[in-house]
Amino acid sequence: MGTLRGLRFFVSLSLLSAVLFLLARPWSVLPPLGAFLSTYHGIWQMAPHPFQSSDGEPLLLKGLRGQVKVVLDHDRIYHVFADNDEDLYFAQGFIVASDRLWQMEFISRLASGRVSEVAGPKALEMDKFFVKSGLPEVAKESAELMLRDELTGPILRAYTAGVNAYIQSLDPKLLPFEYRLLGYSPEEWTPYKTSLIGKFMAFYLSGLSSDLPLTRSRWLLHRIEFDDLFPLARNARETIVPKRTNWPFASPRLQEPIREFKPDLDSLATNLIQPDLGNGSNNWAVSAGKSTTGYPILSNDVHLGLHLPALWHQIQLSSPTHNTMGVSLVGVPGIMLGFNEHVAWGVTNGYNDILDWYQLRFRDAKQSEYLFQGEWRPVVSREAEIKIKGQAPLKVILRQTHFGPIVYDANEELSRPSVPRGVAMRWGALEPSNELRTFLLFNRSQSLRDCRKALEQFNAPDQNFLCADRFGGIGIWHMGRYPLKAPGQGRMILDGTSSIDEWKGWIPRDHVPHSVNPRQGYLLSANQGPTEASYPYYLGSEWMAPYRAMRIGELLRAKAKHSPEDIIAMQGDALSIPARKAVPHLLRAVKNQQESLDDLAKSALQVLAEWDFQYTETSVGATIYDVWYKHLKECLWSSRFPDPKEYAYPTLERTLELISEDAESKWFDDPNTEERETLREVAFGALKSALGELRANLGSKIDTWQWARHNPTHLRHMAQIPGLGRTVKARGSSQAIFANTGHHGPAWKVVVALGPRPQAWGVLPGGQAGDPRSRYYDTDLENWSQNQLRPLLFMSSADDKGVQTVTATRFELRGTQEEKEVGRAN
Amino acid sequence: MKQLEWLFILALYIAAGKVLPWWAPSLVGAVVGLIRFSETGLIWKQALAAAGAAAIPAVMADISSGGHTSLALAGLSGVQFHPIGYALSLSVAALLAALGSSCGSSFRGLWLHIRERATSEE
Repeated sequence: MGTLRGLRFFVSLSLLSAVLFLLARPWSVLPPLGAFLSTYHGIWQMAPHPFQSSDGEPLLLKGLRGQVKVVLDHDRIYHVFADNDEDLYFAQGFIVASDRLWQMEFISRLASGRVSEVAGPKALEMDKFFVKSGLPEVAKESAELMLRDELTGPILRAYTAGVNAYIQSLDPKLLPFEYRLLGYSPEEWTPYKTSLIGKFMAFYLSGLSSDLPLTRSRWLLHRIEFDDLFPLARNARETIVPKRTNWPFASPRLQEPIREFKPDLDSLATNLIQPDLGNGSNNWAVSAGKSTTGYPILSNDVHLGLHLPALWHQIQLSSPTHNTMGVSLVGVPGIMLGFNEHVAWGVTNGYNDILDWYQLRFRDAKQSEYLFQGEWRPVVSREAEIKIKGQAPLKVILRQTHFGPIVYDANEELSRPSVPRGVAMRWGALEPSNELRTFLLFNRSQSLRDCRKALEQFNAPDQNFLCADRFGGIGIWHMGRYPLKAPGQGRMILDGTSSIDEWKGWIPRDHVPHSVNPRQGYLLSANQGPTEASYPYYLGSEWMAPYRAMRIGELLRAKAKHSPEDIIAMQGDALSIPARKAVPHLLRAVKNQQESLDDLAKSALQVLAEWDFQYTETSVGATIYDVWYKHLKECLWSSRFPDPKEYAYPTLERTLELISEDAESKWFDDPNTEERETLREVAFGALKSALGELRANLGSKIDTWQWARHNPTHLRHMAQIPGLGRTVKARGSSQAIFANTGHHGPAWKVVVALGPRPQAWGVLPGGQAGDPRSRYYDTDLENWSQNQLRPLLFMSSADDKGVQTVTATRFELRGTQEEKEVGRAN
Repeated sequence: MKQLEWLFILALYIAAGKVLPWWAPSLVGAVVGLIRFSETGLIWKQALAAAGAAAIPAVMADISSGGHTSLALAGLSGVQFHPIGYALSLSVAALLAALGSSCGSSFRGLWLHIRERATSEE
């Protein structure tokens, strides 16, 4: 009996000890779960919001000089009214930090290669990339440039002080959610971190490079075959600058590289870290004459990776110098995309080729010297350290050449005794710059002329800036700092041993493609090629397919005048022009082979024949076509190019050309078979495998093959923390105006109707709050998925009578007595 | 009387939860186990009491936004109820209380047995 009692006590004690031990230790990147899940002290306890604790009294903040009035509207958008610019941006820093502190700090960590420090070794490859790319150093120099500037310096300092005022107000025990989850604390905010976020966006939007896969594909083919499949000159359909524009200048004569360079392909690194291939956007504007309101209407939806919290933060900022509303990029002062009483502006990505790779020949395995123009030049090296949570820090060597950094160290990839060959990166965004100035000037613009002036110092990432003013004008500038290159130069890996392939200077800013008040009455851009071939300079060749732009143009031309409601409806259009182009040819190709198909397959073809080419949530045709085209592309190109991750496939445009115009093309013939295949055989084979996939994944009831079921839209948490993401049913396709791919799409949608009092509508894929526990973390997601843009409340002052009709909460921020005295002394 | 006793135990869990760190339910469970070791279903009752007490902070978080209704509406206060997460938290509290209670009652049983044996040997 006594032994049994003893055993029972021993077992209970052991179990309790084991559970306590397990709950007290951290798990991978997670903190100790005992404290984390405690309902009294853990994750369920939130710090009171600073405005909540002010309890009706003005919130006193050290650093403010005067009074700031804040109105929080029914959509949880802050409207900030300050007596002076510095207080305005101080308040913006404070407010954005209170909503998104973890997110903005995390992005700055990402860009500086410091994620492993808090998330452990799984982020190491990414950290190494950013550290070795030299991005942190350039961000540092850019921050100094911004601080020296008379406009951006004081604003950046004020914003930084506002963020830090919020950080200082935090109770260390009640930090924002992710800090407690990952077990670290916020650091002091600095202008350098703001600059890092700017440079990260430059990487995100212009760091894309297809040079290596294209080079690999090039050397698999004969030159004539390569030119046929990967033509340099594409059809200039629906260009950004309207057709038949005359260019009153010529480019300097540049000699085309005299020989083709074949790099040592085996020695090149394969683990290129790339931004998302779908990063793009739409913007368009109709002039006063093409608008039902008599004033221009502007539309913009920026396509980025879909994450939670949402990347953008909607806010209105008002001071005696301007009254502007729109979205700010978290961690960066001002409004990046938006409008004021006078102008509205929006951007899309430019996609010019401003990133090139140069293969180097090193003198020996030490990689301390490289050959250039017959001389050995020194590689400037220094050591950096990457801290890793739970591990010893990793030392990495940063190597710099006159081209730029060697991002991928050949030695790390290869263990062969041959002389290693690395690749140096030349990237237009890897230079100190002050893009913040451009956006702050946009905030203050009063006309198209001001918009143009704001762009004078804008370097990277290259963007299509579309601007409309209340005087009826519209204008677009394909703006950036573009290298002067020969046609095709930098499309593939370049020779780093000679100066032939070096950039020859810069395209003058006045010569960038642009158009102001064209006769057609509208302007549009959707990441397509900017000009016809008559434009004198070479800008690149890897723009996105023109189908979104073509659809926008088609809809704009379909009506003489457009209302704001028309423009909002256009944003929700999910028609795919590639599908409209391909489906009739594909159906014709398989028409005489249907006897061997079962009833389900015949029904699928019937559905496709009746499809309206819209990628709506319930569309079955969209699912069938999408999977069919995917299999067709694989059937067509996988016999020529071994691995789509390492080799470039011909573009969608070229593939569609073959389908619609050349069904007997030799490219349909599989070189591995004796038979001669044409589109007929390839399309039929692809159809059978597509239907097999659909049956396996979605079952045998064709009605259930709905697009949103096949391709649900999933927004992951920015740090990919399971359970904090959301899934929603939404329409869209990468080639439709509603360019939602399921994990990538419109990160903010806005329509602005200018006039005596501007009206605007917008929606975020998520919500205003960054805290996953807040109900405003994902409130707008359903509206976003259904293209329901919400009216944006634009207030003329903090006491604007227009807001009486909606629920709004008012707060006040004031400087402490000490600050007021400092303010008076100044 | 019985109900009063349970109210007292519930209050004990709440007080300990507020004052002590996350392992408080195991301590309270052990103490209650020491006192009431022979009661039928003690372990389950303790687990239930600990889970009930742990549910209080969620209610409190909502109540604390009272008087700031507009703030709560604006998402500035209060937490969004997350059933899975909250169930996990309550389960941890219940597990700790059950194990603590089992430990306390088995220790009491062992100690009483040893004392009984020592008395009978005398």
